[in-house]
Amino acid sequence: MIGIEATSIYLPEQRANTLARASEFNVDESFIIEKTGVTEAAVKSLDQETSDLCVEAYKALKKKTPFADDEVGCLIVCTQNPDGYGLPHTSAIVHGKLGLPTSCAAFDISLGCSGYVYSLNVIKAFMEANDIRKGVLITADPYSKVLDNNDKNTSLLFGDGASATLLSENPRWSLGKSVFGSDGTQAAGIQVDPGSQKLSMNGRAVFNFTAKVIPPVIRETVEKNDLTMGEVDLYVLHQGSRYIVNAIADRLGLPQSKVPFHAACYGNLVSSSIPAILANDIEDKHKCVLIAGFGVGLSWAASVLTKI
Amino acid sequence: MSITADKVKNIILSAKLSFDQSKLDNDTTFSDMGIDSLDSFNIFLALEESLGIKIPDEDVDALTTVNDLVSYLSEHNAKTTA
Repeated sequence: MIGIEATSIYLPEQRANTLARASEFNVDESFIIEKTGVTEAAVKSLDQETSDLCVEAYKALKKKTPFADDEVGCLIVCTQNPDGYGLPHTSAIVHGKLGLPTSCAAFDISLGCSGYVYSLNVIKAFMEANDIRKGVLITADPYSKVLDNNDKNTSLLFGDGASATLLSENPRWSLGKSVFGSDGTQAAGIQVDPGSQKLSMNGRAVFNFTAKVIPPVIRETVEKNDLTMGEVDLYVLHQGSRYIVNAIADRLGLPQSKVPFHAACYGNLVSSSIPAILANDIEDKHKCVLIAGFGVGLSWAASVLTKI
Repeated sequence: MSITADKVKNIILSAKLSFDQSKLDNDTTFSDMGIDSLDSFNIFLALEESLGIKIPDEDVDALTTVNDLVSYLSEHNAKTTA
């Protein structure tokens, strides 16, 4: 059985102090601390490409769980902010920078905040279908490439980072059944504006979507895995904002301790927000973890990880 | 269905917002009550879910008090039941 052996996160050292920008946007510091929840956002340096973030996450993964590069049979990069214009695919560039074997399949997946859960399912199925013993899933979506620094809705929220997940036949976590969905009629809710080429987000549409759609999706995922809500030790949600994470917890009747917000010091990392928590914030007592990603598309995916 | 200020206020309170609820009255703007933009999303969603209506984005900027909401919802109600 293919499952997750290890997960790592890479965050650039540089931080944007969002708290210091409160007055610029005519909001109280309490709004940033209690509502968006992001007091500092990780920002890559201008000369760092998406593939560079991927390489750093891969190095962090190897440091955590040593393995040989020539054992890697497939490499997937989940991003919507690829190197250059996206041609060639970023995974090919990462493959080259890492010097992975030519027998290693490398391809990109274009998804945003739901991307980690989708990509886990894709890489697991791809590996099992083709007898691949080790595979690496990387997420990296540096929104600083497309942020409008004058936009209150987005510039106080997003951070840069990358994650790497090793999947193998010696997993520490198994992946359960997943629930997926899309609502393309609301695709414009989060998009890079074709004119300005900057990110725009309809905050109200995104809030309504997450508050209405995600709680039932989480309940469906729990049922699909023959669990009860109480049997899940931790709910790791996409860290869209503190307000959204807390709103979902409220609607599910769950305490915030079971639905944590961890992005205060680095920001909304898009598809890297879930693996960032898996890499650093899972405790021994967490045996059963629900993961749920939602956002760009609008798109969502949820699943359950069980410690082996 | 008649829309009263009390009904609107009850729906606002059901949204479990963190503002000082003693300040909730009919004419004070939500902003002056300490209700920020994110909390107002929650209020509009609570109204939509409770009343089974849709409040379009283009209408929300003009809805800044309980009385604004009562007028708007009454007008909406009249249109849908006419």
